[in-house]
Amino acid sequence: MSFLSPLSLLLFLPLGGAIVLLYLLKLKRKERVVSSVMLWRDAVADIQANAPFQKLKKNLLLFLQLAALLLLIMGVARPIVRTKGLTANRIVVILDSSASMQSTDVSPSRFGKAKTIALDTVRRMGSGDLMLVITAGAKTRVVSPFTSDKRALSAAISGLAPADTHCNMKQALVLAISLAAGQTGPAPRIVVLSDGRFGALTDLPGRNLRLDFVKIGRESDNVAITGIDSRKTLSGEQEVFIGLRSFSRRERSFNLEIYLNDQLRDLREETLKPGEMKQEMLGDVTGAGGRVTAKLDVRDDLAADNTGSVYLTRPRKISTLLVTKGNIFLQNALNLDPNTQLTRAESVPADFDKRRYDLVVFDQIAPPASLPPGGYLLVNTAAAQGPADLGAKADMPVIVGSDRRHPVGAYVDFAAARIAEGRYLKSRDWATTLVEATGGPLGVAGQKNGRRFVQLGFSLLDSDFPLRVGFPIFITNCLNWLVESNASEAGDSTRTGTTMMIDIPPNTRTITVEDPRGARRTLDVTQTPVAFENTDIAGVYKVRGKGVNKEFACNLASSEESNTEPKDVFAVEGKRFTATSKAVSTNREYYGYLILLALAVLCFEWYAYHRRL
Amino acid sequence: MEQLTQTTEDLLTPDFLRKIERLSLVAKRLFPGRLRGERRSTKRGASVEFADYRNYTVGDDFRRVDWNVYARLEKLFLKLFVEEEDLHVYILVDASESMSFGSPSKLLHAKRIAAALSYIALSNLDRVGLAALTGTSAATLSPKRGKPSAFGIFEWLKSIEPFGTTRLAESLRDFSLRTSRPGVVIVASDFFDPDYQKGLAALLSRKFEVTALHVLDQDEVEPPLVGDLLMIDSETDERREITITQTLLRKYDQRLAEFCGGLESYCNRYGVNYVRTTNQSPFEDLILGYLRRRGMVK
Repeated sequence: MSFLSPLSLLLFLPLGGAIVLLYLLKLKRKERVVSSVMLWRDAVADIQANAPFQKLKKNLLLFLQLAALLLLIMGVARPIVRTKGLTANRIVVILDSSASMQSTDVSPSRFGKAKTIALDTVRRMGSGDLMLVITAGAKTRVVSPFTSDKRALSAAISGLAPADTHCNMKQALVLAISLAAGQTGPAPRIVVLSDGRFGALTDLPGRNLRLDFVKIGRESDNVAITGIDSRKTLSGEQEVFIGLRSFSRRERSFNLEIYLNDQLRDLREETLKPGEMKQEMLGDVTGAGGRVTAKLDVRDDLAADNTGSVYLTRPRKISTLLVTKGNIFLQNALNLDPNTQLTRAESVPADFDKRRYDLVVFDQIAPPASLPPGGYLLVNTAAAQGPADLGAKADMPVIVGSDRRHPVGAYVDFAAARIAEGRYLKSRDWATTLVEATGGPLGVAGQKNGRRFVQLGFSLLDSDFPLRVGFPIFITNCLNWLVESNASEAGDSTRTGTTMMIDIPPNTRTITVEDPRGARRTLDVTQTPVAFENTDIAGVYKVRGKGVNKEFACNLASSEESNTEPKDVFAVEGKRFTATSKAVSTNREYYGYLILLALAVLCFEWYAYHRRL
Repeated sequence: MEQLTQTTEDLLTPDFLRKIERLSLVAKRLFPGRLRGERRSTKRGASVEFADYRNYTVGDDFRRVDWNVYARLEKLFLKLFVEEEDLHVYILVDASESMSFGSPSKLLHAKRIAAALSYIALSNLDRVGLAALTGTSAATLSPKRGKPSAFGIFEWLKSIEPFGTTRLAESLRDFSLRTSRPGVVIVASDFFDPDYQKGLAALLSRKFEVTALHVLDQDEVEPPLVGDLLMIDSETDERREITITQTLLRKYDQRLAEFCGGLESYCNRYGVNYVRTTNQSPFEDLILGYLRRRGMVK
């Protein structure tokens, strides 16, 4: 045992001295006249003669008071005992609940072992100790706030389950640090129960962290589908790419099963050496579209990455109406896609309301006031239901930036384009700026109530943009994005842990989403598309509602998670935290017990005084 | 009697006096008296109770010759009869300061016992002498005889006030030296004097039949004391600092038992009657019950 504040022990000298001094001073005794002191004299003489420690016994109260004082001062000196185990007065436990924690290289699984260690830590907690439990998956979740209720903590930890997502450890650490900062006293100890498979941790106050990293896991024996995607070829066919990778230390052989709408389409024997990557391609997938699912028939540590699904768009002609006085650039660019069925008109056709077009391009011609659901490209014009109104005139505007993360702006270099004149756009709040000039936006995109818009504030004929390399890419992007909502009835796919935007038709009030395990969630539709966030499980989600019968797939598709080789070290802002076993030595304070003991001694002293011991 | 009742009502009630009139003190030995009384004397006299024979000498009364013996032995023997005389009863009351403790005080308790025993003795035509033991001497009241003397005795008892230290050894020796006629001596005291044995020995050496009436305060038997005390001896002014503890109280009980046991043992060894009483003992029960059972009165 040692003391955190040993100098406090010196307090015993003056305070103990004061107590002794009080005893040395003459005790004020009550005078009592008795008939004779003869018998009392003899009795006192007997006691003194019979008890060799009588003098000590006489001062029992003094010794008890000194003992109580010593115990109190020892409590003030904060005695500590080095103990084995993850114990501290305040502790923040971060459980990695990502997909890699489902690995079964340790029994019953990494997450199961992490829960066991966390429960063991709860069991070791002292009466005044506090614990906060956080899970770190794609989203960070506070499982239990700071509490000393062991039963509540045990129940909360026991009920945890891992997700098929990546691990956002940085967010968990930021949350732990901010919650710990709200506590008074010394900084709590943060214990990370993880296999270390998470991204780099930067912009964190690593220097002041009191952190224990408990490595969970032994080795990696895993093969995974690290990616699955589909692509439409220029000939109209679709190809499916499947990325495979081995994270095993030995050569693994297995079968790759490819299903199209749950019908086995292909079976391939695969052999991967340790660390080998491989891409498989399934070409010439035509037909009615649907879901392509790839499955690895293999027994490895992690099952969540052995399946992946992707949806094929329905191969059909895109009905496109180009309303223009004449624009050869637009016409040629739209005709590049063989699936496009282009109709040209110089004004809005009379039967515009009756015919349904997948895409309508208004080139410097004002669209009608009411537009049916669909995709619209507005060039140097504006629609009442569109994302922006035409604003001030722009003379030789200089483009200062564009949104390349937007599907429409991807791979398109607007900055190189020169524009003679145009109109700045006054965008509505649901619109996204695609092209930003010095005086305001010149290009916006947005979707609302089943309509998707891309709007440009300048005439293509007043700029050299149609001559740029990016123009046909821009038109192709517009076709893909504007028509996608119409053509993606079959479904969509995304990564687990991300938000899925579900397109639903207007007038649908509620939808029900059934996850791969059969659990159903009913969502109220307040706006479209509906954002669905509970995508923690890999697999196929079914969406049902009035006029809605679609599905989407969530794939793990993460090399970081599929690589289940546990890390021994992770760094936070340059400070390295080395993995420890669960037998971490910690300082355990015992001042509370000493103060209780001092109280007990004082109670005994009171009893001794009154019972004339 | 009426006057007697009025003056003694503090000590004894008239009812109680009537109850004890028929009692008499028991003397185990025979003592020569001064006047004729109701006690058997060591002297031979004119009672009807045969005592002994002796040879006839010239001048003896022929009426006392036992002619039946002469007829058988042809020798003249005189038939002697027991003389009945009065008994000297001395009641000594310890009037030291220590006797003033208790409620009622030990002294009052002792005075009541003395009054009752005096009245019993006077009722039996015994001669009652009193003494108050103070300091090293005994203030005595000359022996009185007859019931009417009770008034003076009670008044004298009432006048006794506790004062100073009594040295039992010396005061009892003083009494024994000043008293010529032997008889029954009743010493009522708390005996808080380490030399009490010498005093009792002085009485025994003068052939007194001694009764030790040990009077204690109930608070001396079970002291209601607590805390840190400065004890002051009421007689000697001796001061002792004492912290009352359970152990000390147990030791005190032990010492009190040893002290009382020692006194009783001494009394038994030398033929002294020992009677212990406390100020809380019911007075009438003591006289009518306890002392009868102990053989002091009958």
